[in-house]
Amino acid sequence: MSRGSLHQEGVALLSLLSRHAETILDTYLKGSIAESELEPRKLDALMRGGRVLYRPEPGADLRLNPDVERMLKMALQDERNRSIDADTANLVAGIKALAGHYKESLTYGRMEEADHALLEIESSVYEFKYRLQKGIKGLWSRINSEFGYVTSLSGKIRENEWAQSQVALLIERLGMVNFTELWELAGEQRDLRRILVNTLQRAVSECSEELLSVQNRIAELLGRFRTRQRHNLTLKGWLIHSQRNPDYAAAVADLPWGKELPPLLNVAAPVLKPANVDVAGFYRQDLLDIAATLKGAAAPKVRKAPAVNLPVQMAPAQAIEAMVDPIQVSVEGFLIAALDAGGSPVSAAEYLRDEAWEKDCWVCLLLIELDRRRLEGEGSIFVETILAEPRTDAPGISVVQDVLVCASA
Amino acid sequence: MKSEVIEILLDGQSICAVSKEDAHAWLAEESNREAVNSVLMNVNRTVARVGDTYHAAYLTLGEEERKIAKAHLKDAAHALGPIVRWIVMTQDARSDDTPLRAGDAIKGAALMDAAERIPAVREELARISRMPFFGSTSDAIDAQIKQTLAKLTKGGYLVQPSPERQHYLVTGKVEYLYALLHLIDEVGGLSLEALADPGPQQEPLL
Repeated sequence: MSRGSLHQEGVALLSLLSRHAETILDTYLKGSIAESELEPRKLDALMRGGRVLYRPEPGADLRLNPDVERMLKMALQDERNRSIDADTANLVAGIKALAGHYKESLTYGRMEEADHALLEIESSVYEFKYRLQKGIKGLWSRINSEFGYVTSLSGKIRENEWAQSQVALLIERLGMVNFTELWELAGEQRDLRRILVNTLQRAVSECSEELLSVQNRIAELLGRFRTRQRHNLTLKGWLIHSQRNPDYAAAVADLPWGKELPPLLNVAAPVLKPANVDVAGFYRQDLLDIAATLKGAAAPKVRKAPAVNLPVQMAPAQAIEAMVDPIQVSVEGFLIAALDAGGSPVSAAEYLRDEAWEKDCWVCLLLIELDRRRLEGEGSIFVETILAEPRTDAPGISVVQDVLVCASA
Repeated sequence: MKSEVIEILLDGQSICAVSKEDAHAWLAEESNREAVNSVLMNVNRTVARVGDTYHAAYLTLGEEERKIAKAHLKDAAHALGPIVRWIVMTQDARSDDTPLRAGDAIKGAALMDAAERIPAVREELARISRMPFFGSTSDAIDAQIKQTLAKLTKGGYLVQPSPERQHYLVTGKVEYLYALLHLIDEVGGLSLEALADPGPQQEPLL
């Protein structure tokens, strides 16, 4: 076929594919299509010469021509495309034949033929490199998604083992490319040497190296899958065992653990009581200083709040804790008011109108108190909304105007 | 960071990459572990590691420490049943046989959806949430999920990155649970794996 008619034929095929893109993609995703789903004219166009659709055997549904299917898989980076085509033996045999043509054509001065042979060698090397790299990329994406296209662990393990055998085969095949032979084949031909030695050899060594790291990752992943499978079976086994022996868990401590306990069981008891920020004590001045910086240059009007001993009856050990700071009592009173409001937001600014406290300091303590409760897991009860206004004289700084607290429980 | 780490460890909490990312990264340095150990040794404690999670262990096990460790084991074994059932339930909810790992996300809404869709999950959730460990008294799926997740968070198995969202992350403590199960399996001679998967059944003879 001449160059001109090849071009014409190619354009016709591509426009056929684009005209029937929907049908082709549906068939690709479903695997096959029934003849009855296609109009006669469409059927005729797609089946002519088996170029796009073909019937694998009499009476079967129509399938995509394997070449078209492969093209789609490659182009769409479909994860299901798991085969890696890197037939090195075939490649080397083809290159040898073409190199023979090339050298012969050069000897007899048939320059056009020589150019053509060189071009063919070049494209077969590029194609080989492309397929290998694409295959490796596919392997990485399968590894990174942990074979996400199969759900079950045993399915993942099967996929993993298959990928492992594929990689091993590829590494073996790449190792079989005999570069001394190709080196001799290229002889003094500079162009041939460039393609065979530079391009091909570099591609093979780069890909081999990458395949080795793929191999390591696959092996590591397999180990992880097996661990998970072991965990899964142990969990389910424990459920069955506890069903049959409901009292077993209670007797676990009496198992023969030996004089030296296994390291896993050596867990020290906690020695610390939970600690909170002491807003009423030693750090109070620090907290007030922070509040002062929020206010900017103006010094805070902090009233010294005398500690009072609330008249409550308590055991002596607890009496120390009853030294309560009145400002703290005021903050707590506000939270109680928020609880009483039963879910509707309560404004701190409004509450403060009846209280004599310096606003910034009080708000600061309120926010600390809400934080403390959140840390202790009581936070879900209160949800606060902070209303702040940016200061015009200090960009980036906002001053809290009000805090709305709403009891969600 | 050193004093924070010491405080966490002395408080009986564990440190994993999910629950305490910074402290975990800090402890990964051997010199930092040594610095912590030199403080902990004063109270007969040392940094121990299970999987990728750190906790405080006794430096030397005397009679008293052994007693405490046994008591801890008793508590842990008591919690095993409810937690294992809950883990298996989440697997069923995802229609998956992959057990939870540290870092996995648990979304309240996804559990809710599964419980509404899959009757077996709904029934198991109702049974599990009523176990004394979880202690729910509600018939509402939503409340049962909230209660179980809150208890697991309190137990250190989950963390809730934002208090407003029912979105949790599994901590490294779950790996401790697996290790404990394997150990009980081994010491108790239970052959749990074989119990769950008896292997290929022998073909009946005719």
